Amino acid sequence: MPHVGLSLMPETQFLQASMPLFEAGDVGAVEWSFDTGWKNGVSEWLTSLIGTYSEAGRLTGHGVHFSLLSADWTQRQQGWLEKFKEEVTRHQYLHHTEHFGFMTAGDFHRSAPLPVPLLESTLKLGRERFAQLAAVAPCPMGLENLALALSVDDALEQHDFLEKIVSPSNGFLLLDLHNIYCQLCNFNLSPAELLDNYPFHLVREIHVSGGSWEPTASSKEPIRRDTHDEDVPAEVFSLLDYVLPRCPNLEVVFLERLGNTLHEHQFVSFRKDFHTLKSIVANG
Amino acid sequence: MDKAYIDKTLAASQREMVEIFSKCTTTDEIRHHIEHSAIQPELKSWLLSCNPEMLETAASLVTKWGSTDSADGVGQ
Repeated sequence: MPHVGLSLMPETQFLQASMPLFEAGDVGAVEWSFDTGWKNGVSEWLTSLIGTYSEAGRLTGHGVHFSLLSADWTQRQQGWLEKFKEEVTRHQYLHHTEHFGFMTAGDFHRSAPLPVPLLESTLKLGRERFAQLAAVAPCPMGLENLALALSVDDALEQHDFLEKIVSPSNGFLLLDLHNIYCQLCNFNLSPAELLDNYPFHLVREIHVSGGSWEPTASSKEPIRRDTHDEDVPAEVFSLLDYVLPRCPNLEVVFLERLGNTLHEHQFVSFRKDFHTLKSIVANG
Repeated sequence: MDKAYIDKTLAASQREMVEIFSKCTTTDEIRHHIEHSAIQPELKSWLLSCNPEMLETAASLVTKWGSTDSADGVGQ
C-alpha cells in the first residue's frame, strides 16, 4: 500500500497543526522542498524531522526553483545544480521531483511556472534538462504536472509532453490532483476527458491539496488557482478515488498546505483532510 | 559551468513572454504586445490562440510571484 504523508513546511503553524499527526505515528512519509531551505537555512525541529524520516527511508525531495523548461542556462541554474549535487548526499531520499514549466527568464528569477507548447525544440530542451537532473540524483527522478494551462489543447497535451520528457531517462510522474482539478474547472473538462489517456503506469507519487478562485478581467467565472491555502475540495478526493486503482506503481501520496496559510481555527480541518486521505488510500 | 544545453531562440522568446506578462494585465494588451514581439513564430501563434482569461492569469502570476532579485535564493 502506498505511504501517506505530509509536505513539510518551515512555519511553526505547520508544526502546530501537524504535531498530533506525527505524535500518533500517522505520518508515513514526508516531502521536503529542499531548495526552499538553501537561502535562509532550516530550523532545528524541521532538520530533526527530515533526518528522522531520511533514516527511516521515508523522505522524498521536491525541487521548486530549477525551472526545467528555461531555455537559457545561467549562473543561477548552474548554482542550483551544484547545490542539488550536495543535497542528494545530505540525506537519503526515496526519490526526487521537480516541476514542469519554466519560471526563470531574463530579469525574472522566480516567477510562477509557465507552460510552453509541445514542439520539437521544447521537447528536446525538456529531455536535456531532465536528463541533467536524473544524472545527479542517485535515486528515481520525476516531474510534476502543472496547474496552469493556457488552452484546452494545452491541458490535454500536457501528459503526453510529460511522458515524452521523462521516459528516455527512466523517470516517473508526480500526479498533482489539485492541478488536474484546476484544469477540469478552467476548461470545463470531465475527469475522463483529461485523464483517460494519462500514463498512470509512470505515476509514483500523488499530491493532494486545496486552492482558491480568482477573477480575471475577461472571464465571467473565476479561475481555479493552485494556491495550497485551503482545505482539500471533495472533488479532489473524488479524483484520488478515480486514479488510485489506475496507478500500479504508486509509492506515496502527500497532503500539501502552505504553512503560512494555516491558522489555528483550521488545524482540525487540516488533520481531518489528512485522515480522509489515509482512509481513501487504505481502501483504494 | 556544466556544459548545458541552450536554445537561444527559445530563450529570447521566453524573455519576451515574461516581459509581456509582467507589464500587461488585459488580454488586449497582452495580445497586442505578443503580435508586435520577436517571439518565435510557433510560440507566437500558440500564445495568440490561448484563452483570454488564462493569458490574464499567467500575467497575474508573473506580476504577483515574479522576482527580479538575481540573488533570490537559489544557487547564490
